[in-house]
Amino acid sequence: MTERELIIKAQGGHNPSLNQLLLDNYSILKGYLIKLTLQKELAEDLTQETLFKAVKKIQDYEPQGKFSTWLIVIGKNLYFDYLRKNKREGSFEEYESGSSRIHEKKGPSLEDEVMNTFAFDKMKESLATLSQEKRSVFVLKHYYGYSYKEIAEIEGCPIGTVRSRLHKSIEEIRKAMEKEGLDGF
Amino acid sequence: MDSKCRETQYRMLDWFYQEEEEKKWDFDHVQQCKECQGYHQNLLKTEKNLPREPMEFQASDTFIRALEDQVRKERIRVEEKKERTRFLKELGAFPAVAFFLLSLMGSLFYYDVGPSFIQVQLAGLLVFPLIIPILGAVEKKRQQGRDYYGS
Repeated sequence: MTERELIIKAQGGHNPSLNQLLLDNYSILKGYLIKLTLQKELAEDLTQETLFKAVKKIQDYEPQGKFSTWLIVIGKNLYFDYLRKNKREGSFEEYESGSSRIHEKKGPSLEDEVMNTFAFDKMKESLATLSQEKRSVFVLKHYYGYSYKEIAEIEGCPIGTVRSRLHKSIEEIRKAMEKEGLDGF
Repeated sequence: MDSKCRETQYRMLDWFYQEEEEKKWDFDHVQQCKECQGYHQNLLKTEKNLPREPMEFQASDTFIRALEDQVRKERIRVEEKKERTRFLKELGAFPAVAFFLLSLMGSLFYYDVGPSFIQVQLAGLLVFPLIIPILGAVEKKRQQGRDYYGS
């Protein structure tokens, strides 16, 4: 069943379609939020909150682009709300969840393995140098291959701004990696 | 950075991130410009240092169950809200209709057309039962038509 068909059925009140639609986009949403927040626990809570909010707002959703675009907008807005409330932009302090987290599986999961790799640390260090806006654009383009147009919709800014942020991101990442003395820079 | 460099680097970026299929920048400029050459190298190094594969995550069974539960609760909430709205509408509509009908009757008696009104009502009550079989036949015919077209 295509995503569009699932959306129509979900909006018509078919619960399994809504569940499938949300779970199909779980990975991309969580990956994006981890790279945006650079905090695993916070990203998990935001993923949960985003999906629960999507359940409430599914009737308001107008299918234009990808469904994941809509979820990412909700997730990004929730994160920016969180930052405004906590005024801790760029903080690396341990995030303490206020909600009951229900993501974890017992034992090491694929996710844990990935999170513990050197690659994640390197990525974290590089992405941490970018502002939230630039980081969001860079992650969407670099890791998820969204088009400029889609990113402009998510970010609520013109395509020129997306291009400019991406351009600056590359420069800033280069500087950060040079500073770290990473191979290749 | 001058505008030529900016334009060249933007075009490199477009190609690198598949917004453009072909390399559309000014090659002569790049040959002479160290800044643009460096930018091209940066793009390639970024690819090397930050591999583009997105991380894969799978929701736990607990999370899936919680999500299903949330979806179910939300549906119930929406249905209850709809029901409440309908009830409130009906609650508001009943006194409004009653007030309108009473006002209408009051006006008819006030303008001394009460007896004629009662006569019309009586005629209506006598004729209405005769209309019911006709309405039933019309509805049956319409249903047959709908079955024929399969809708």
